[in-house]
Amino acid sequence: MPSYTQYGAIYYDKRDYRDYQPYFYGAFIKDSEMFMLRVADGGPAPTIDWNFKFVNYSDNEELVAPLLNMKEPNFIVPDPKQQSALYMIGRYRGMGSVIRFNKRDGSVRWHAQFNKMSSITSVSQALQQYDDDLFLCGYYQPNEGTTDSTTIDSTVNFQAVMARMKDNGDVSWVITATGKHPFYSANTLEDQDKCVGISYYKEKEQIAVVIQGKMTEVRGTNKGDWFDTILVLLNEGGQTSKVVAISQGTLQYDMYGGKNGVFWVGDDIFFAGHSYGFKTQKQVL
Amino acid sequence: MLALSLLFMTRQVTAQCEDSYWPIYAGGAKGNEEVRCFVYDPNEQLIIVGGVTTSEDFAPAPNEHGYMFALDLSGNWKWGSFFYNVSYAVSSIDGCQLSSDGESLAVAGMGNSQPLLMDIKTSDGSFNKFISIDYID
Repeated sequence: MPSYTQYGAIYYDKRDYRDYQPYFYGAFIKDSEMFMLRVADGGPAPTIDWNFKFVNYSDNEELVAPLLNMKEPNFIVPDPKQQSALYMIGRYRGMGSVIRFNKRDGSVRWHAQFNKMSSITSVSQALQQYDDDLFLCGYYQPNEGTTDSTTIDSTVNFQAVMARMKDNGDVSWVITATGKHPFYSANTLEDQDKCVGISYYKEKEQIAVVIQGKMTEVRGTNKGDWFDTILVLLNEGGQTSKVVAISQGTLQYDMYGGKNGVFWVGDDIFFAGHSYGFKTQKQVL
Repeated sequence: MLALSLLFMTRQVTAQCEDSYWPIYAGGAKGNEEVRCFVYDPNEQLIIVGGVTTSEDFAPAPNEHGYMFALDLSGNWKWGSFFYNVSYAVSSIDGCQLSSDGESLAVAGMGNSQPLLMDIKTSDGSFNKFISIDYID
C-alpha cells in the first residue's frame, strides 16, 4: 500500500453552484506526490468526480533546486465572491503557495508563490461575500536545502511571515517578523519564530496573529531557550499595534501553537496549542 | 438607583467567573496532544478543537488517535470523542473547516493509514459522513 500523508485540506460544499449537488474537496500526499480530488456525495455512494496528480519534478530538476518537490496541501478554502473557484493553500515547489482553481474540473486559474515564505500554515478570510482578501501566515526557512541540518533544531533559522492577498493574486503586503534567539550564536542558536495562526476581524479592522517563537525583542529578559506564544495585533495595513508574549511564568516549557489556531469571537481572541499547561495570572499549575 | 446597582454587580460577577475558566486544558498526563483543528461554530456557539494524541489516559491506547472536543464560550466542556471505524481508529484529525452552509464541520484525517474525509455534527460530535479514500491494488 502507498504511504499517505494528510495535511488537513478539506472543504465540503453542500450545494454546488452548477448542479446543486454536494461535493467534498480534499488533497493529500501519496508517496511523494500531491493529489487533489473532488468526491461527489449526492448519490447512493460517494464517487470520485475528478482527481489530479501534481507530477513531481525530475531528479535533474531537483538537483538544481532541491526544494522543488516539497509540498503541503494545508487548506482548501472558498472564494467568498465567486462560487466557481476555490483556493488550495500551503506549500508547492518548496515555497508558500496559493493555487486558485475551478471547482468544476480542478483546472488551475493561477498559482502564486511566495519566494520568502516556505509554507503557509494559516489562512483567514472575512465572512462577507464582497470581501475578497486572503490573510496568510507561515514561516520562512532561508537556509533550507543549502546549509540547514535536515534535523530541525536550534541551528535552523525560522522567521514568521504574514501576508495579505487579493483574489487576483496581488499581494498588498508581506511582513517578516523575527528576532534573536535568547542565547544567539550564529549557525548554532538561530531565530526560531513561526507564525501558526492568523485571523481577520473586518469590523474592527484588526488582524490577530499567533507566533510560536523565541524572539528576545518581545519576551521578558528572563525567558530562555523555549517557545512562547506571541500574540500580535496588526491593522489592515499590516502595521503592528500591539504585541503580547504569553509565557509559562517561571516554568521552562515549550508552548506550541495549533495549526490555524486563532480566531475572533466578538472582541475576544481565542487561540489554541499544546504544552504542559499554561501558567497565567488567573491560573497556576 | 437600586436596579442600576444590581445590574452592575451581576455583570461584574458573571464576567469574573467566565474569565477564570480560561485557559482550558485537555489531554493526558503525557501532554502529547497536538492541535490541528480549531474553529468556532457561530450557529451552535461552540469552539471545536481537534488533533492527535498519544496519551493512553486521554484516548484508549498510546498509539496515535484523533480526538475532538467542544467547549462553549465560557469554557464549559460540551462533548469530547475519539473515533473508531469498527476495527481501526481514526489515527489523526489533521484539519477542519465549517461546511459551505455553516451547519456542520468538514474534517480531514487519517485512518488505517489512508486519508479520511468526514463531516461532523458540531452539537454532539456525531458523524454525518465518513469517507475513506482506500487504495485498490
